[in-house]
Amino acid sequence: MISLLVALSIATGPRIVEDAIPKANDIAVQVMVKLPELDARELAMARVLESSLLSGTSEFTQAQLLDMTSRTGEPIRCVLMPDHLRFQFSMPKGSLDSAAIVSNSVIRYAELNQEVVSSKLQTLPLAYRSYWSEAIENRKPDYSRIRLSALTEFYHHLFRPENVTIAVSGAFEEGKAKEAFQKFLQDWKPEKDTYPKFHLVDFAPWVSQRKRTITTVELYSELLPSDTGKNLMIASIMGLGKGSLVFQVIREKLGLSYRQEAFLWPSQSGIQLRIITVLSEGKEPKTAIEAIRKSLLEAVDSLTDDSLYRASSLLESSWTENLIGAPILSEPSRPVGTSPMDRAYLVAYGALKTGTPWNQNQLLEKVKSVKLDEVKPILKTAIEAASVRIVSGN
Amino acid sequence: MIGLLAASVLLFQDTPRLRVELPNKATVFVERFEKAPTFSIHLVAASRGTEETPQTHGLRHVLEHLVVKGPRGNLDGELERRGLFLRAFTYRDAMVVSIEGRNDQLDEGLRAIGEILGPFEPTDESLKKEVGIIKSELAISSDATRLLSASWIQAFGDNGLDPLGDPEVMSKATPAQITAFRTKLFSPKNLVLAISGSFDTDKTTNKAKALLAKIAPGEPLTFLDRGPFKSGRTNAAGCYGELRSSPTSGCLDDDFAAKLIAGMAITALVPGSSLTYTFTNRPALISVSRSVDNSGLGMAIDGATQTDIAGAWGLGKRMAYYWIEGKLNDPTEHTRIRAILLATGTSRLPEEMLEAINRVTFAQYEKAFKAFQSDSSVIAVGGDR
Repeated sequence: MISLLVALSIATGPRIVEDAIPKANDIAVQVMVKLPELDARELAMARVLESSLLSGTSEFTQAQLLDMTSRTGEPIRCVLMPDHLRFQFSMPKGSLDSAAIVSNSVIRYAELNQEVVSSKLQTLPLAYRSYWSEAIENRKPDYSRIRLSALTEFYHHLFRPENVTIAVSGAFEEGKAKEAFQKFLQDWKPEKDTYPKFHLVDFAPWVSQRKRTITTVELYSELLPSDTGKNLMIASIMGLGKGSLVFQVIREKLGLSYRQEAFLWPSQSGIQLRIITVLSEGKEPKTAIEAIRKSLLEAVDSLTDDSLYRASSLLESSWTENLIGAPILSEPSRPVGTSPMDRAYLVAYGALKTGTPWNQNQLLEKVKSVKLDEVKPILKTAIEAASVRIVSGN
Repeated sequence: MIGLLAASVLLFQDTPRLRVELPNKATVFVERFEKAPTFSIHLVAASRGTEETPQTHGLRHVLEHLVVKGPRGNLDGELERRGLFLRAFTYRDAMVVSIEGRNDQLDEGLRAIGEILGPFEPTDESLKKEVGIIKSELAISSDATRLLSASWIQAFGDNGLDPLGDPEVMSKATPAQITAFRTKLFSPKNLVLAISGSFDTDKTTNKAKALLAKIAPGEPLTFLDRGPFKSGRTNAAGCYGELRSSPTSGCLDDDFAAKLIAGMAITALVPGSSLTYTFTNRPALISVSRSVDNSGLGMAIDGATQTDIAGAWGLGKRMAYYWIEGKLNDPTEHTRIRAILLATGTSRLPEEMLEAINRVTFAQYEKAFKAFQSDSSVIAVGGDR
């Protein structure tokens, strides 16, 4: 059954979108703020915020926040993505007011304390990252000269009523989530934004911290975010299952890799198709990437209606039966599935990115209406024009 | 005080189940989930008699890669084209091949299992290809995996070798050796065929029995005794991070429940850490690791005050309960875990894990927490960034 997605903005307040799932046991909440284009220092601030936002609010300690949100197995946590920062949690059925109280508290009254922030500023620059996480995010943040006052100002700049999208999915009656969240957020008025408008710190060239000599090569290209059906179709053709182009071309035909993935990933300006290959030992990256590009283009020429049917069927298996991961990720290596939390993610992200909440059933319908002659040119252009990124350990 | 944790809906309660031991000692287990939209089939082969030794290190892994290809070399791809999905895993105590699909495709799934159990003729070429793929798999194995492998060696010596394998040993394997190894691994006493979905239980049981009944009884096999646990510190090569492991008896025991709660409590206390455990009825390790740095996890565990330990008790217990409950409420996972328990020697029910978590007292939890501290646990540290 397709549930009714109801979006509401409280005057100039946050956008609240609800997605009632009568049979669910839990309530899932996603609170998302859109990120502006970040410079190197702001990226560092966003990372510090991701790891310290939930340290406590003026109303609740960190332990209390965790305690209140650990009753369904998904305690509150914060996630940074290229175009948004969000926190998410779930609560048992019947806890809408509590969910709204927790959300309101973190949105408006987070207390960033000096001790936690100083500790993050010391540890985050040195944190070790796996080859895969370096492949996914390789901009170099600049952690120097970050003060608590600037971070607090940045937090208030992001968490402004007009910049916040809240999605609530799960066990409640239509209208009840909206009502509960409105009750606690309706007095939230935008205050003067004192955050400076000018960005100053450029990204320094990125250098891997890793010594392990694993190399990833990538082709990536920008897609139009409004083409949701076409984007999902091409990502499914490229990346879903053992019949996908990346599996058939990169692993089976070229024998270049054990791990190769194609998926949709947010970017500042829109959404990217990313094709990442972990090269097997002894393969030369520049030669490999051009061989991949050439063979993928040949494979695109050979696509048929059956290829589209296979891709849409697999996506349907993902979003109706949970049998395979979809090619859209809510964080690294985490495909969006069908849980209330994932549904809340799609609802919030669709609203934030395109102004329209997404849900799996509506997206599937769009994917099924995509035609072969629409897909081929987009895919060919995406591969031909794709930028190359090579990430190697030292 | 923490009250009993109880879920609002436990899907696996009152599920019709049928377990049959065949004359050749293979086991068929079928459970019906009325509203499940999909079926799952799990062919579990216990590792009795085929556990890793320095001479056979990785042969089960190679075998897993070869058998799931089926007789035409592309069984998984063929299944996927028809909307069925095959996944295979090799653990220390069992190899698991799972096939999932819509309920009306159950017979296709069973046919595929028949092909996996059927004639097996590896060639030098197919063997070489799969060993090459496994070498690539090993080269990119995660830091957590490498830390874990090192901790098992520290804990149990060669009896704790990982199931991933040694490229040198695998490269020397011959088709005849792999075929003989398969006969031993697929000895009926090692095999459990478990099925979940919405179907006629009796008919499905009969179809499953027909697949296993024709396998000739093999030689009597027993599990290798892992021997006593040895605590201590070890350096893990080619990785970065820190891991603490503690020994547990089988996953249905109270000792495991207490350590699971303690492990979860540690992950709550130490941001970025994660817990690793593979369900089994055999003695094993439960581990907590972190790879963002290699000095922090141990300090947090060893330096935890009584207030820290007490403060994480409720959270740890809830996280443990809901982690297990989440798995058991998924029909596929429920049946898979039950099949592994049957294959590793017990007919007890996985839901006993929830009862055990509810029984754990603060004193048991506190003792379990301290079992992760440096004088009682295995510490694995990787310094290669």
